[in-house]
Amino acid sequence: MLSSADFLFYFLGLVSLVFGLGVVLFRNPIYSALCLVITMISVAGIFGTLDAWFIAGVQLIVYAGAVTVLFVMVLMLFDLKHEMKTFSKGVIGNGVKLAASGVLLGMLGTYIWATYATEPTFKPLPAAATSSIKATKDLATSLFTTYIFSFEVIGILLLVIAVGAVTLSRITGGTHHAD
Amino acid sequence: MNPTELITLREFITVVPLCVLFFVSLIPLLIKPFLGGREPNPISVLVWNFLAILAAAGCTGALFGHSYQKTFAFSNAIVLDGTSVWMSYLVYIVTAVGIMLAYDHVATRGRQFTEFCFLMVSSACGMLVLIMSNDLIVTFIGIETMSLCLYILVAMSREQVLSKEAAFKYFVLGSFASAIFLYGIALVYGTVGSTYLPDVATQGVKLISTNRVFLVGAILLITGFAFKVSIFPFHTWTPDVYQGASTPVTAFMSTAVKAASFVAFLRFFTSEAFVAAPHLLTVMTWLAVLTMTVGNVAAILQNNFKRMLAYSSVAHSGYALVGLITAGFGTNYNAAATSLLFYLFSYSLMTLGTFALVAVFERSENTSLEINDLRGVGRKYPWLAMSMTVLMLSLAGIPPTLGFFGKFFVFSSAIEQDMYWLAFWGMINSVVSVYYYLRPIVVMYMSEGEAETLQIGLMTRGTVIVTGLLIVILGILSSPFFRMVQNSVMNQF
Repeated sequence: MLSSADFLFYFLGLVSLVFGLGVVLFRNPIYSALCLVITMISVAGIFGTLDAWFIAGVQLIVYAGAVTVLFVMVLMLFDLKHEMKTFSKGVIGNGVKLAASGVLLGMLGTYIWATYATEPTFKPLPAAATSSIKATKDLATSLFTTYIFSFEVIGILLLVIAVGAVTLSRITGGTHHAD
Repeated sequence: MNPTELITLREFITVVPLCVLFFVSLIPLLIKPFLGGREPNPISVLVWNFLAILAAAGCTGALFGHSYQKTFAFSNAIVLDGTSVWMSYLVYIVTAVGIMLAYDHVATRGRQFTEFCFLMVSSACGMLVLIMSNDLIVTFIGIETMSLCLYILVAMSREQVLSKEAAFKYFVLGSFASAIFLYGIALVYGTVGSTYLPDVATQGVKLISTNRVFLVGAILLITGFAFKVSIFPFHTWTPDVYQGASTPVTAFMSTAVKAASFVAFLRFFTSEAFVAAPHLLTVMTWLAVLTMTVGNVAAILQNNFKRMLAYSSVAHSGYALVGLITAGFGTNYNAAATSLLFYLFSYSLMTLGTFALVAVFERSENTSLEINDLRGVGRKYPWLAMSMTVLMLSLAGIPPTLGFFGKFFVFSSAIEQDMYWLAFWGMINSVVSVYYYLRPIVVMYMSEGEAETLQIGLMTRGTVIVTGLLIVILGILSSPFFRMVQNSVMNQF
């Protein structure tokens, strides 16, 4: 018998799958973006059912909130009718896409399924994840101690992205003459 | 653990070169706003960036040059040993030369030379992180820092739809590879419980034959690396991107990026985990054989010089993969790793020189060099032609050049480990490659024609000639040089 938490987990999993497919299958990018929002929210819910409250919150704020707003803003800058025409169509193209994703999905699915059925060797999570405040504190501590180097290098990464975005938008001449 | 003691001075010292490189390279970027957004004098930008590289190289030399003691820092996230010291020198050299080429080249010396140099040096910072990394997370961040700079550098060439297309292709495929790599990390972390490479190594020995999720994770990681170093069948972006990017960027990409990625690949791959997986050895062997063959056969068919060099760089990835496999699956790690590092050095030097030559003879920023454009170079520019001949012979692996010794050490270490199949295919491929490496030489000397050069500065010409000379000198002195590299690698364990 499914407990309510289990039910929520599987239900949200199903929702995220369906809307994840929607992201790929809709031709209108706005619909795709909306599907993405729902996928993000249900993934946040899944994290919640797994007691990873901090990640759930971050997922909700950063991805479902900020990133998607950014997506929609960018979409508004494009001429959607023009962009939609450039999608590749055709039986062969679709067949190749389906086959490629099917092979990858099948490989990962069977391996994870086979391993999990014989010996579930996934490591159990650290016990600290139970209380949300303590978990967040632990996360912060390890972020600024154990992973301090990675954390600082990401600073370089972000600066590079900022400089790069400004640089690319200021390029003049060449292909940028004609609009 | 007491948080106040977490970062000691000793730990901080290990990343001093990285910090120096990054912060000094920021200076020209900060000067630009004070000039009201006008581009500062390119020479001052050049000098600041050289200063950054020289200071960083000086720090590396002064702090770690005397002993190659293996040092860990930041909760073992990074490791400093002979390998990282040697490869950081290579990164410094290539970045310095890359900036010189960019200064001379029309396509890059525009109104955004400051940003260009900053991105190139930041990419070098990413490489330094990558070659010191001892943890999969740090490896990933290193790869991303390096690659994001490159995507922008490729797109920054002012002209050509081709370069925009190349940048986009590289960006999409590169992000895809990063996603695959990250998924691999997730699976490995899920089974091992750690991303720390020695942990992955010790636990992987058992897991690789029993746990399929770990195996899939490892395969995804290998796939991610294979994208970055362009190993068949993940090499398809290479010719398009190398052709579309402006030549200084191509020179930088095909040398430093490949070398740094190979070092990270080596650190991941030489854990003992993979010895327990004979199937993986078979797959990797075939990948190496196919990479060499596909690269060489496709290179024969090219008329565009840059595309030919791109396929030749794919083939060279195959040769380097031979060294990697020998180091990962063989019993004598030191010899194999030394030969791989030596190979990466020689390959980078040769390729840098060759692309500098391409930059000299490109007619304009919008046409790329065909092999037939080299007609008459032999008579008109004897010194350049001479260097070019040396570089081509070295790429083909003809003694007494450095390229010959690079291949020689890689193949001989493969033979010592009884991997005859790899060495056999490597040699067959070397013979095949002689055909297309000789073609430019024949065109240069035997065909009549008027080769033209761009208005190109002394530094690019100098690079061609200096690399040509270095290849001969280091080729003759190869055994002391090899021993130097070996001594530094030896202390690793």
